[in-house]
Amino acid sequence: CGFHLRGAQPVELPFKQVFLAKSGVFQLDLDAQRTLSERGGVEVLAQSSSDAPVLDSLQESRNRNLRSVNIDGKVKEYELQYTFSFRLRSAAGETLLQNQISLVRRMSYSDDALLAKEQEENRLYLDMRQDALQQMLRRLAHAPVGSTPAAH
Amino acid sequence: AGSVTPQPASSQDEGPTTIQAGQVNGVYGQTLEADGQVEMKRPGQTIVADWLRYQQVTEDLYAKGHIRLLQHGDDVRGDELKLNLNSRIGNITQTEYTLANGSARGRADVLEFAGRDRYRLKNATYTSCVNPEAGWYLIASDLSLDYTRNLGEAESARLVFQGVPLAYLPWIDFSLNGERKSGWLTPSIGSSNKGGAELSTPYYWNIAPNRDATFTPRLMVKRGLQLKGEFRYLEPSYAGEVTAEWLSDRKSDRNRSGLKWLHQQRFGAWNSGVRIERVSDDTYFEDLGDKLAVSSTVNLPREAWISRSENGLSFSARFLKYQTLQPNPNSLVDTPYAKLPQLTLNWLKPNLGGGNLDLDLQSEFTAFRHPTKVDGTRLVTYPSVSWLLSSQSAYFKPKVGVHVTHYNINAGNNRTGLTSSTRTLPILSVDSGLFFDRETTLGGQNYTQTLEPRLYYVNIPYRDQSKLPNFDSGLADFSFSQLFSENRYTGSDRINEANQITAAVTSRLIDDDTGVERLRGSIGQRYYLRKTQRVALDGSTTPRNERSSDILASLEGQLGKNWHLSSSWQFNTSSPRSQKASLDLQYSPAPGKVLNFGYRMDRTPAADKDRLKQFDISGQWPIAPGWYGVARWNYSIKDKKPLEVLAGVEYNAGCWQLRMVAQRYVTSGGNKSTNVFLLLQMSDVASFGSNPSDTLKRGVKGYAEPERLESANPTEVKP
Amino acid sequence: ETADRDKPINIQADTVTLDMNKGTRQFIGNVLIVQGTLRVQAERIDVTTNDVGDMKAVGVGRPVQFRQKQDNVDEYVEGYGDRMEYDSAKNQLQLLGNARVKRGLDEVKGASIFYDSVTQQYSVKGGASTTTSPEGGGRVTVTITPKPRPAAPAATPAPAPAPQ
Repeated sequence: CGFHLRGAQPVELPFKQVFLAKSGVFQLDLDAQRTLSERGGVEVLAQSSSDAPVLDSLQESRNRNLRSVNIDGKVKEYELQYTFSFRLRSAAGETLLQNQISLVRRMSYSDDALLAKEQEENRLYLDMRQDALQQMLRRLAHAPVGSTPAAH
Repeated sequence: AGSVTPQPASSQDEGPTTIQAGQVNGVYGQTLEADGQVEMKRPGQTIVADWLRYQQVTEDLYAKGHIRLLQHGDDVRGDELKLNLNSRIGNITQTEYTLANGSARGRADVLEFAGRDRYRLKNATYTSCVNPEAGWYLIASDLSLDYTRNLGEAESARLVFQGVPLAYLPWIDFSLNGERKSGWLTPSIGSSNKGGAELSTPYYWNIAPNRDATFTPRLMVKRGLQLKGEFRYLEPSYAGEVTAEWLSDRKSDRNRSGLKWLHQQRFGAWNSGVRIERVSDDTYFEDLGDKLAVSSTVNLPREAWISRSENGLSFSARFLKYQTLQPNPNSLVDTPYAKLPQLTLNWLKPNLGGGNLDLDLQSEFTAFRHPTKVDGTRLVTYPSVSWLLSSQSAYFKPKVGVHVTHYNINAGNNRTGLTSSTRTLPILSVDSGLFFDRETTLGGQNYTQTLEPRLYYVNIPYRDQSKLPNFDSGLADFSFSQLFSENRYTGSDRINEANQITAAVTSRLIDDDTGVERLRGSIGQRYYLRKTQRVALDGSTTPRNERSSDILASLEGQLGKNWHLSSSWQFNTSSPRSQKASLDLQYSPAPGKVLNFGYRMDRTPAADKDRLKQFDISGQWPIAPGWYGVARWNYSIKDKKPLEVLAGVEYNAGCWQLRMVAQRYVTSGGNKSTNVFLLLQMSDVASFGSNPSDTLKRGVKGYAEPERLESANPTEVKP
Repeated sequence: ETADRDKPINIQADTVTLDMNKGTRQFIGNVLIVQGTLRVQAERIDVTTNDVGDMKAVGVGRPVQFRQKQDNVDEYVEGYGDRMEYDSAKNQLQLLGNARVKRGLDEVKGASIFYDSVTQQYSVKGGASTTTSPEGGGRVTVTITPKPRPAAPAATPAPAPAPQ
């Protein structure tokens, strides 16, 4: 049915090297770096270089909204909203792509299992972070890096 | 031209002044008198008058008769004008003015120009409506508009709405551009069946750019006067906010108070923080909280923490205790364990030895305290090594670890008599997946469709954990995140035995132009190679024999330009029926036009009252030019009762908005709470009533406030 | 300049006719009067002088051109008009019809202009819209540019005139 292993038609990132500016959140920086190198197949530089684009202002935010209550007015379900934003700049510093990805997961809730739900909530956020990083990769594949910055 | 001596008070707008008139007399370079439909034009200013005299040197202008003054954004008419064109100081009498590009207009006996962008008006009217009679206007004996500080102030002012005087205000100040400034915020009036009618008049004090405070006296007919104070502070290394409430409650004749303090601080590489929430009694939020999200809060944290993380090593210490409210005596809430303290030490060493071998050590020591349940301490260490082999089209990731837990259990409330125990569990997991792609077009748009099969194997031996205490373990929701995790229980007290394979496949539609994921579908199931599972949350060891888990499927994303779908479905294969289902469909062709249809069903919870079967239908739609209807109907099919009903009509006239919203939602013990929001907003000058925005934004996904939508008469200037 | 009155008057023209009883001389055709910094060009000018040397000139041209330097300021006054009347004793200039006076960057236009170069007073009238000034249409236009404060006040009038 036309599917073929992606290896044969890889997600071509329009750059071979990228400098990843640290966001300060160690786990986020590590996950971003591994997604770029393992899934994106590009070399992640530790410091900026004159011709490699820069991926910076990585930011994530978490927001918990009440979604469903039961007849007793008790919270039965929360909606966890995760927002991830990033920016790709050319070596010359010109912004090529600035994007925001927001994802949602639902989590049932009961006041009786507060500590357990706290850890499940954290696990769902980490799951969304991985998802967002994958989607970032897809979008980076379409970043207009090819054209020379002056042409912009 | 010869050398020009620097001009002492040169006006910024250099350039010639031209005067057209019926007749002009003057002394060259000194004065000039023009008569007969005089029109004086200079860069940035145009003055029309019957007669004017102009002192060229001092740039003083005196004009009379049918005056019209146009200067950067101001259009002012009047009888008599005295103005220094350089300093822009002067005044005009019997004036009709439009200032700041139309955002302020009205009449005044005297309009004084007090320098650039600063005006003082005597016996003036002020409005932002093109047609004040149909909208509102402020009459004041003394009105000052300072666009350099964006502050308006009026003395002995009367607010007239559609010709009806609405309020007499001895003194009022208001923002000219919507930013908060010190002073009385506009009062809010509301009513609820718990507190009766109420009036609160917040006072905002902008202490400093990084510090502000709000004091809100809230008078409730049934309960009396509640005082509420909020103080926020932001310093380079620390920030936080403190909220305190106090009420001597007539209805239950006792003092009721609430406190909330959030604080975060950094010392060098250390982060620390405090979060304290405390209320005086169990039904505090029920009676005094005005929002559903607030009234459903039951566990209030009291927490202090400190943490540090540096290239892979992260340490944290945390003291956590909850105040648990029991609003409903016959359905008691289980108080969570307190962690006094909880110390965690995690160490992650990626790319060990240059390869892609990861060493991960998770360790935690916690002392658990509980009023009625058994206390004790727990030490968990879980070192693991994982090896990632991946390319763009496939990945294979085995992981091996040892989960060691040691308990010291106190004697009190100890029904099993176990005082100490150690549980050591080897954990093996293998995660693997392939990535397939193909090009496809759908509705004229090119997409890359992916097909991502994934296999996940976990092997954990059985250990009898029925005698171990359960401090913080719970059954996680059956979700795709849980499908691919080692343990179906969260926390560390229960580790399920496992010899299972999870298989799932995900397909995504990726937009070829932007790489944005438009639609994603997934389906997965877990197969138990070992028939029986015995580890359970409570003490029972009766084995459950399942061959496979429920089937989990989900479909989420954009359907065409205006439709968005988010659905998930969990099918129980053994007793063939749906175990859990959720559907959310949204149609939103434009701002202010949104319809949501939601259905949720969940049979998983053991207690019937915790099960869900409900509709959630909501929407906002224009019903007439400038009029918008908004509604939500959250109906529980199981209980055959609405959980929340919300209905409102909102009108945007351009320079004023009227918002009428009623809300009724369930509270504990089957009671209902009703709120009525009635709000009349006159751009930033005044607003009367209580603001329904938060309630509507939470209740109706995609809701937009009326002032941001098409107004009734589009010619109205947006304030 | 007021000092012009002590300077010799030089008048050129195609033809000159003398009218003894009025004491006026009529110059016709490319008339040019020069007296010190004063220059007047017209098609026809009637000049009457008195024994003291004061001069009254009435000129007609398309347009009459008048030019004179101002006292102790390096600026010239230029005047144009269909008809001109100049009185050197009073240093007053009257321009009628499409009148225009330019001094430095400032300019005054109207149906009629009166200018006293001693007191530097001027008066411009729009008057009825004449067929020859459709653009003005009875209006006056004054253009002034921001001036540095002048160093000295206007010069005081000069003493007796120089003999013919």
